[in-house]
Amino acid sequence: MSALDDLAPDQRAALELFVERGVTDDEAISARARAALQALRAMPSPSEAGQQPEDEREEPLEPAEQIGMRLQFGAYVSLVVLGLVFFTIIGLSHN
Amino acid sequence: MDTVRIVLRRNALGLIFLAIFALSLVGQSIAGHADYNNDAIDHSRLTGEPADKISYLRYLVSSDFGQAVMENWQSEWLQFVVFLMVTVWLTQRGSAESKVPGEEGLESEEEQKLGEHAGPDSPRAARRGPGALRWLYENSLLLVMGAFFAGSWFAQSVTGWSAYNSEQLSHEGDRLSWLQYVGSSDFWQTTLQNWQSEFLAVGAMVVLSIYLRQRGSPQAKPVGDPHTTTATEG
Repeated sequence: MSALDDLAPDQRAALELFVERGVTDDEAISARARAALQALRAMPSPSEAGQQPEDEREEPLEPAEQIGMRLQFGAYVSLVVLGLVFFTIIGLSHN
Repeated sequence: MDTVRIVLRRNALGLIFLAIFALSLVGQSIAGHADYNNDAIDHSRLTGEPADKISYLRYLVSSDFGQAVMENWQSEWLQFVVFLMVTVWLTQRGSAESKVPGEEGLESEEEQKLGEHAGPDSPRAARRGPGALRWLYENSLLLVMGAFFAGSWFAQSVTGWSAYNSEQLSHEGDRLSWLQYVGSSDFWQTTLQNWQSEFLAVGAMVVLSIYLRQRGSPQAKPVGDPHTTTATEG
């Protein structure tokens, strides 16, 4: 954490914005900022620390929505499997 | 009522694709049926025999329709299978579709939230220690897409084989065995014409997303991101 402590609050805030936006071009930033960036990356993310940022938090699924999502998953898989089986049988039976 | 609206809104992406898939398939079957019968009429003019037209329902269970659907399906599944595999190990700097160069590979248990790093809401299979069941779940998307690809490619081969032999019969040509057909130019022409378009489209998406943007889409980088930024989400 010492590399982070070397930075002024505004530099640290800028660096955090860098990380948040996924800036990965390490060569574009100074050696001091690069060291701090590595330290920031080593810090546990909010989800790893057991909390989610406010904007990433999703409401818990309602039973109806759980069923809906599973139905949709089932519909896609069934459609594909049925299509494959159907056309395989057609191709084989016509020969 | 509110619950239904909420469920529809939160699943809109999957549902809209399901709907446009169904509409497109119906459209293809109608156009394909008309095209099949037009060919039959043209053929009858040449031979002087009555046109061998078929009903719409008969067309739906024909090898011609099956081949047309399956040859497109297999190439789409292949596209995803190849994309899933190569994006694990290869990167493209600046692309919205790539991992950051240097992060190639399967990544650590911590990065993948596996075993002791799994959260309370993680899928049960991810909370397990290393083993066959967890391996299956780790690769489940690729395995299922791969199975869909293999299945549709096989279905293309048998429907194409049937359609080819039917054509040969009407022209008094020699029929082929299935193995002969999968080695034929007809099979590989229909296969490769679909593969080339998929690979071009995926490659173009990887490279075009370096310099071009679509505001609001997770498939593109944020509009203000530098071209050198490699991102997996926008």
